[in-house]
Amino acid sequence: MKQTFCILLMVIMTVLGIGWINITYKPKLIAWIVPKGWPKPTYRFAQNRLTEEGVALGKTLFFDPQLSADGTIACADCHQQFAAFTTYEHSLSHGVGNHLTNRNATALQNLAWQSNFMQDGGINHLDVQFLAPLTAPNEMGADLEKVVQYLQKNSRYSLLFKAAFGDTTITTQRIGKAFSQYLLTLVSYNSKYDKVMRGEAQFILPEQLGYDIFKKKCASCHREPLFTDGSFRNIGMTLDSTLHDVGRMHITLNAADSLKFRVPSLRNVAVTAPYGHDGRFYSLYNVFEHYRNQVVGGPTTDSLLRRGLPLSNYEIGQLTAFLHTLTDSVFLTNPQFGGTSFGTLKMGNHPH
Amino acid sequence: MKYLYAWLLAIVLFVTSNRAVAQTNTLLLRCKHQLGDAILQLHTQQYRNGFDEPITFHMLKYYLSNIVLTDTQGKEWKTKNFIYLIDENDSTSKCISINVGNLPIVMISFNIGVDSSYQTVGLQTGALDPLKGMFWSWNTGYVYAKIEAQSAASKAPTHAVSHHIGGYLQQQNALRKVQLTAQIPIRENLVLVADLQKWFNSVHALPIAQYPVCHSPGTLAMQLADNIAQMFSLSKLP
Repeated sequence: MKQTFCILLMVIMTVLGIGWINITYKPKLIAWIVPKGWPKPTYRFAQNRLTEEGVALGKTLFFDPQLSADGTIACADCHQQFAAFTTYEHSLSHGVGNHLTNRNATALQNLAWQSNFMQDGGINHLDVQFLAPLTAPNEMGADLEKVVQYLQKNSRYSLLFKAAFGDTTITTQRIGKAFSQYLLTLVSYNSKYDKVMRGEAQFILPEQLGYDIFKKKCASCHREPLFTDGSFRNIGMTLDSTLHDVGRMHITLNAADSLKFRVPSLRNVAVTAPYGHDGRFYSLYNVFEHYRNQVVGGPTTDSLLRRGLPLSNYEIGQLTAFLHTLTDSVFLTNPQFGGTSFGTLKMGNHPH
Repeated sequence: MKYLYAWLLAIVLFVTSNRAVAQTNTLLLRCKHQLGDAILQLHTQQYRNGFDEPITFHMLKYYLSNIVLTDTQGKEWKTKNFIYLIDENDSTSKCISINVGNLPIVMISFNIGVDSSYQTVGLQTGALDPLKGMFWSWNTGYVYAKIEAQSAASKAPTHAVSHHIGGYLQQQNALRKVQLTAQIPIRENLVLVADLQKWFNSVHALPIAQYPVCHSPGTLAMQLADNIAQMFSLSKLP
């Protein structure tokens, strides 16, 4: 009996000992809530639990221009919070060394519901996404090895990594997880539309009329509540002769995917001009004009748009009123996202 | 109390008896890179491929995964890690130790490349860290095999020969399985010879003049993968 007691005591001591070692690493878990009535997110949170420390690290990385090849461009320079994390008033964004990007910067919002990334869907996991803009020669132009070395030498990052992951080891995987943690907090669900759906507000007449037209003419691709069905479609835009961007076909190598691009979410659409995968539409009116008069019917043009999308001036007016209800000012000004203060806006010294 | 002792005795017996059966040997798998009979030397040596095109290599890297050795009784032995990155420039990477039993080995099988299950679940560590330079960021996926070389026959900028081979999607799958049988059962060192002549010419004839660059999954990557799978043989020499 004495022996059993002895074994028990040793087990308890060991458990306590392990507990003691781990006592310094206690990240604060963040409760990530799915807005009411929304589908289940596709991101696997079980493999990357959101913590305050992880989000803080991701946010620091997102706003750090030192990650780029010449120290001038942070992620946040082309993904500006007040423009729903697109580049404000830019058709294409600016990379290091006077480069232009090949596509219009997409909004960063509600990424937990997206199963692949980039407008051609080439990236299959959010944790991996940061590598593309970080290393592309016409974006941040960085060398991953040098980025890791920079982070390892920086004592501030040592502390941030330790707080987020328990020790100061810096791996590509940890960087990716930290980026994801921050990006996953960027959830937009407080627009007027959302408040109407929750019964907290009411549409005025033009908004309501616009919503009715939207449900009839737009919602099959821009599906609620995310305002995208996540599919890739050719909306009849001609091939730009300088960019030669064939979209989804670049990834699948299937001719049936030529000129198809991801259906963008319309959340915060009023602040994300210009529009189109290469930013060729400067205003919402240009987009409507494309749909009703300029759709080019090619072999891969979406069957719903073969003859364009008839829209009267009256309908365009009502739709515009409705689309403005998708602007989420809580999201655009949330100080927790880090892109609202003058200091962070000035952090990158890249002139736009 | 009596039961406790009985259980302890049973556990001790189980552990020791298992150990007796699983007595292991460590066998070394060494990778050797050649062009025909000539040993590969990076940077300094010019070789000629089967199309009489000159070529000087600067880099050779590839993934070996799911390595399985089979002994004379048909028992299978696996490596400690699932995936190894073989890098010509890093001699330690070219030597893999495997625990096997007392019996000699008669067969080896492995994949060249990375299982799709590792390519859709986010970032990996170790041999699969994107830091190893074997990862496509614009079109998620691993490069399974890679050469950087130069040849006067190449019309690409700087006469580069740059083959990055990968692809896991349907119709783009470049993962290849290789299975080799030993002519004489192997007891100690297992030397895996890769003949780079076959990289350009075996299942498919892929002269440098026509195919100096492959940087994405697709038909050419799959054809190169077919060729690469033919490169390997077990050396008769120990």
